[in-house]
Amino acid sequence: MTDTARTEPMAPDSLGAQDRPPPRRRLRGSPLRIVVLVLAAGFFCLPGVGYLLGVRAQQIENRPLTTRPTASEGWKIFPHLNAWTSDHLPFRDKAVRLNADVDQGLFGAPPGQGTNGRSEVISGKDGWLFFTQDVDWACAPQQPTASTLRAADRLAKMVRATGANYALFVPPDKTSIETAELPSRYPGKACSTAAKRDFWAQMASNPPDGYTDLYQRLQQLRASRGAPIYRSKDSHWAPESAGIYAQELADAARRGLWQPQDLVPTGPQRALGDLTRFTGIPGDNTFDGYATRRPGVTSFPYEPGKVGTIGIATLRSSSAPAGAPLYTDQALLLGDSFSGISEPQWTPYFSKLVSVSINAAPKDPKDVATMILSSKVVFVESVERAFATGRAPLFTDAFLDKLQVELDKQRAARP
Amino acid sequence: MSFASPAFLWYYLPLVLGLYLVLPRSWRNGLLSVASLVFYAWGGGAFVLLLLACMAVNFTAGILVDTGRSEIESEQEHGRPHIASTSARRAVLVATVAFDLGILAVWKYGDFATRQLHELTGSVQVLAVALPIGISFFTFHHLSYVVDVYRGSRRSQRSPVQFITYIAMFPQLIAGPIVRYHEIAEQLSDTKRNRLEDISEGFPRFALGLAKKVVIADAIAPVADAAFNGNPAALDFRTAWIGAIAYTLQIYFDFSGYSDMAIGLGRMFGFRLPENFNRPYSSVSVTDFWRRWHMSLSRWFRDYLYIPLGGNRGSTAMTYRNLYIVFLLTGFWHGANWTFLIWGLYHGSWLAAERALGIARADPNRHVVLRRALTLLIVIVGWVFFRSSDIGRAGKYLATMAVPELSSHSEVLDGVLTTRISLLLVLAALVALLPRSFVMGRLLERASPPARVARLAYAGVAAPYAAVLVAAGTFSPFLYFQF
Repeated sequence: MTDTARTEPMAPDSLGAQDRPPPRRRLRGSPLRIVVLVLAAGFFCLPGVGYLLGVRAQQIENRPLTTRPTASEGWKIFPHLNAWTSDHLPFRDKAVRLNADVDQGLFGAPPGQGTNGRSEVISGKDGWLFFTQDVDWACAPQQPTASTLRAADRLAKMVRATGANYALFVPPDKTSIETAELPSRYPGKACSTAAKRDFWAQMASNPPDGYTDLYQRLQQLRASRGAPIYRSKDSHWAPESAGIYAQELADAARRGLWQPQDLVPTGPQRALGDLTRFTGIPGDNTFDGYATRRPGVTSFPYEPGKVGTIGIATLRSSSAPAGAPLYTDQALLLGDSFSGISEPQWTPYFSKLVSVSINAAPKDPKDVATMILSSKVVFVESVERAFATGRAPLFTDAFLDKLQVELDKQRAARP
Repeated sequence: MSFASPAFLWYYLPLVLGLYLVLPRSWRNGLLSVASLVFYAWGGGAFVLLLLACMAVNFTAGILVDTGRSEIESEQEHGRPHIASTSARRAVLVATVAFDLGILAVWKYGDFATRQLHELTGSVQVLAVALPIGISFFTFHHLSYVVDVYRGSRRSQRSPVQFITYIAMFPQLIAGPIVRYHEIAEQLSDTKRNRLEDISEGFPRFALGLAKKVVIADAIAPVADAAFNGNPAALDFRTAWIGAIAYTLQIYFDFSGYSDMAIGLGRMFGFRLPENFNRPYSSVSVTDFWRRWHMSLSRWFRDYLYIPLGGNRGSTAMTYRNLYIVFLLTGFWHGANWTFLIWGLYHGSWLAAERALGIARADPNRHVVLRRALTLLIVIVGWVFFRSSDIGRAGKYLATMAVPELSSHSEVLDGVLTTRISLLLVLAALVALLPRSFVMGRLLERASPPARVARLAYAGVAAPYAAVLVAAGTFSPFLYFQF
């Protein structure tokens, strides 16, 4: 340290006033000190006091609260603790609501702007909401569309080799159909618009094996209706569009199963818009209701179950002797939330359909192979944003290689 | 664990503060040591073992290199090991410094270095290692400790608990300020303090930092992210400048906010940590900027590198060489990437130019507006290197900034630059443009009426609003859970 006295600092005077601690203030016993202490205590202890008084965290997202961490997790206990402490924070629901109110009320921010300014939703015209991921993913594909299409052909070939029929559906993103409701400017507009145009052109000119074109059907429906066919505050389509999907599913199982009179309007319908959850102020949206009514057909609530490690939902319908015909062989549907939200529309066509999340399926190729081998028809449905950008894990060579091995093994083991 | 997280604010910190208040005052360092190791493990997981190993080596080395003022008597009295030979002490010092720098080299720069060799030769395997959080900070603390003890400016620690408190004290462990050992050695043993007074003095400073980070820096971040992370070809002149200015403000409010929180937390536990920022964007030269930006790092490099290299005692050429070495390493200290190295050299070059032209010694009160504007411009351009992911992108970004093309309109910031964020950007810019003498952190230390109002405002308004933002920031609905 003796060098310091003899040597000019590299930035002269850098050891100046800032190095010296400021003089001590006399604070002892002052009212200000007490006020600050009370504020500090309130700041740090309010959630804890709330907990002691019985305030418990509310489930405000569309997922369960994080489970309590255990010591057996080893070092992973800490990231788990972060999630657990956030989820179980008393008054968290109030903070989310207050923040959303301040953002929208005081600053006129678009819904879902979030605390860090990153919006999960794009605010469209007349209160319409769009899922930002539609745009973000389109601008940043994970694998070329050509690779996904090759994988889709490969999957079709593998399924057909088992003797089952196969059909592929790609529900268009809301941003691909309801373009009139999009704002005039939004981040990624140019690149996502170009990417989507290229994707649908490829799907039209070089469709993968078993592909059913919902995009053209929905474009036609949109043009004929002259009104939206997706839900205004939800990422999914409205019931009438779901009815188009149900028609294609039924016809893919057995042509002629669907009849035009099956889909009937039921009047205005209200339901929670999934995109409103991102705004911190969950809210409903209203849309035209449609239901599938088939003479003599009764559909039953889904039965949850498991095949190996994969969670499944089995959907059943029955038909009276003189009722409308059903597809009676077992059907398998690997789909995402578009299939889930359309379930009331397509269930009345199948006496037994096993539904599996397309996102969960790739975790266990063995169980997927088992389910394919048990089915006479296999439907695969993947929303545009995942399929077009290579984010649907079913359409990767890594998964298909494993699936092929499992299919060969299980077929060989069968009598 | 981030200070701006529910886990820290409403679980960890209340528990540690509560224990601090109820346990005997003499237990402070023990409590802080244990709490700090938990804090590190919470964020760094198994790397806490690396931290403990480094502490064990440096603690032992400190004892071995300690000269002491009455060495022989002291050692005989306490039965401590010692090395009387200067050359042996120097050997231990060199070995310890090599160990500390080796740890830093492997864990922080191993990946980068082997990646460069791999690209050059194609045969060297890339050493893909995760970066232990705070490694740059705790390594510099270790180096400061062992060098200060070797120089005899402070005695080595006899207490492992006090040593752990110095190295791992959670307020400064992962983001500074870098505390030189001689700055804090006496405070480590000073536990007879009025704890409530410490908390009441530290909390407003902590609240100031939390608000700077959460209310301003985190809100501005998406603007900079959108500008710097997107396709450089999609940028236009206006967007590039807004992005660069947004990042200039974000990094200041984020880093200085974190330092304010650290200083406030340190104060709450009875420590006075050194100041780290002094209104750097009011600087009138780049030399002045480095007296005001990340001051604890500048002081560290000055004490442990610049002066040992000879400082400005040698020839002019040697002085410039020393400056360049310091700034090259300052750049590299910030991260293992060529962009940081260029950023360091860029600043070093400006410092050298100012020294050569006599600007570094010019009266700071002359042409203040013009000099502040020019310095800020230089700093903003420097941040483009710092923020860009690679040199190529930085070059394209700067090229866009350099050509005024006002007719084109990029969509990069559409939907990002909302009313709230625009307001905060303007507010942050105004704060940056305030007079040079106005330093909020130091104002809070005073007893004047404005200081009282500021303390109440931060403790009673800014902190609760920041708390709402922190809690609301955890909101993460999952679109597909229903299926």
